[in-house]
Amino acid sequence: MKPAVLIVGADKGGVGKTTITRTVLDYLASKNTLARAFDSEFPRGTLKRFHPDVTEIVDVTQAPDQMKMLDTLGTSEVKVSVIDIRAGLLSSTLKAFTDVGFFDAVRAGEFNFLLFHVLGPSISSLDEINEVMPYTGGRNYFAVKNFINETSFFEWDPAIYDSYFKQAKGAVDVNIPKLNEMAFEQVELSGVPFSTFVKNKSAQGHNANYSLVLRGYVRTWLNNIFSEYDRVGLIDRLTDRTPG
Amino acid sequence: MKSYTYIIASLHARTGKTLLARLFADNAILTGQYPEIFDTDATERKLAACFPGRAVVTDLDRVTDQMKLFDTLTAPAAVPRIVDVTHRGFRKFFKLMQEIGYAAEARAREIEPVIVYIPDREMESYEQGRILRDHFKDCHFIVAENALIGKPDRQVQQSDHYKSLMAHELNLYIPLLDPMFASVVDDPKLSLSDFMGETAGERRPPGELSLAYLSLEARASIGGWLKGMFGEIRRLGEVIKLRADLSFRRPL
Repeated sequence: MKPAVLIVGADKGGVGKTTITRTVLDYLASKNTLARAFDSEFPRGTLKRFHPDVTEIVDVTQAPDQMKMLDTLGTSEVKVSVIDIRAGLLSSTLKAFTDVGFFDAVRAGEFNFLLFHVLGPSISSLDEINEVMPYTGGRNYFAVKNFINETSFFEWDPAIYDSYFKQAKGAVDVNIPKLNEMAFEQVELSGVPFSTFVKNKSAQGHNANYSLVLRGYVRTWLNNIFSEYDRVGLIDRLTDRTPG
Repeated sequence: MKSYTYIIASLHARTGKTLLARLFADNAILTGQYPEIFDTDATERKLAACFPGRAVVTDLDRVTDQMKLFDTLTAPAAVPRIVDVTHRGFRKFFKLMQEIGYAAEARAREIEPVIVYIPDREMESYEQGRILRDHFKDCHFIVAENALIGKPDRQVQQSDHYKSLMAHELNLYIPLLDPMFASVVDDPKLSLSDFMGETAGERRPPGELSLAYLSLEARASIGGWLKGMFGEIRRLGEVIKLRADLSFRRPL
């Protein structure tokens, strides 16, 4: 299998990037696909709090940490790398990856590259599409609409909606449903992956005592997201197979 | 030791659901076990009115109340639990029950869920009852037929939904009570379990219904009806206990 990099990011903050990265890691685990993760919320990582075993905190603006992520792609036994880019750094990180020749290597077929562009319900967020989509070369660009805040993404205004989404040819829509706030907060407090919360386990693997109702909400929400990832053929795209 | 959660439900109002929930609760009291009682009708609170200070009222629209209900229903218990599912929350309750995997979680803790469903005269109620029974195969299921509602029309009776549901092997028949005395039983201030041991003229605490005014005929009629109902509930309880002990599962 060819090494694959999945970047989850947005220039705008507060759109749920880390939450979505967490669901991706849970999804890959459910598919028995080993993954490593890089948390660019330097120096204190949120992703690492939930997935400490597979996550490393990096400063994506610094060359040593860029090397840590990219120079190990070919040698690491774990072939899928998920990078959670902190707010405001997506464009600059993509530019830095261009400068070091990462995208040349992708074009040469050495690596697979996927971009989860997490969108918020604002024009500035949608404006990012035209800026970051070209990096994917029209392939494997995912416009991730996170409905965590009951947003509408301007679907009520067809002119605005079409100007962004219809023109983004080749973009794959991914819809992330809303999770009940109380369930979300309970997972935050527990500090474990969503799938671990559903299994009623603590971070140490002991039996926990989470609410059955809240676990149910998380399970249903996570299953819906997994179905969405199945729909867009995430595993196939990461492993360079033709999406079924 | 296994405990039992009785979930009393019907698709529509005025099917006798709360009365049946009350009978299940009073039957437990008569056998020396004070049950945990849950009334999911946060508006009318009819079941809670029958067991003041004892029943827990939950609003299914509130997540905190959903937790209060289902998290309690999965906690180990030594006594039976009775849940009166309001017709307004019928779909929400069972959707939630399915999504959270209540039955599996309860069974893992030695709690046997029992759904008691009362159809009415509408085709939809038989259809929904059949869906409910076929969907929750990991729960015991009882079809309760209330004579007061009467039989549905011929078209409904000839439907597959009706035939399938009415052929269900566990059923509870609620016989007609003389309408003259029905209002006595409906009074929330009357304790049905106390009634069974009541003697004419006995003094009761202020606020509770006195039965001194009831004629002997009324007392005999109500008492006979209650005796029959409690007998049926106990018979079904024995059958379910036997099935639970044998780890009975309805065929998939």
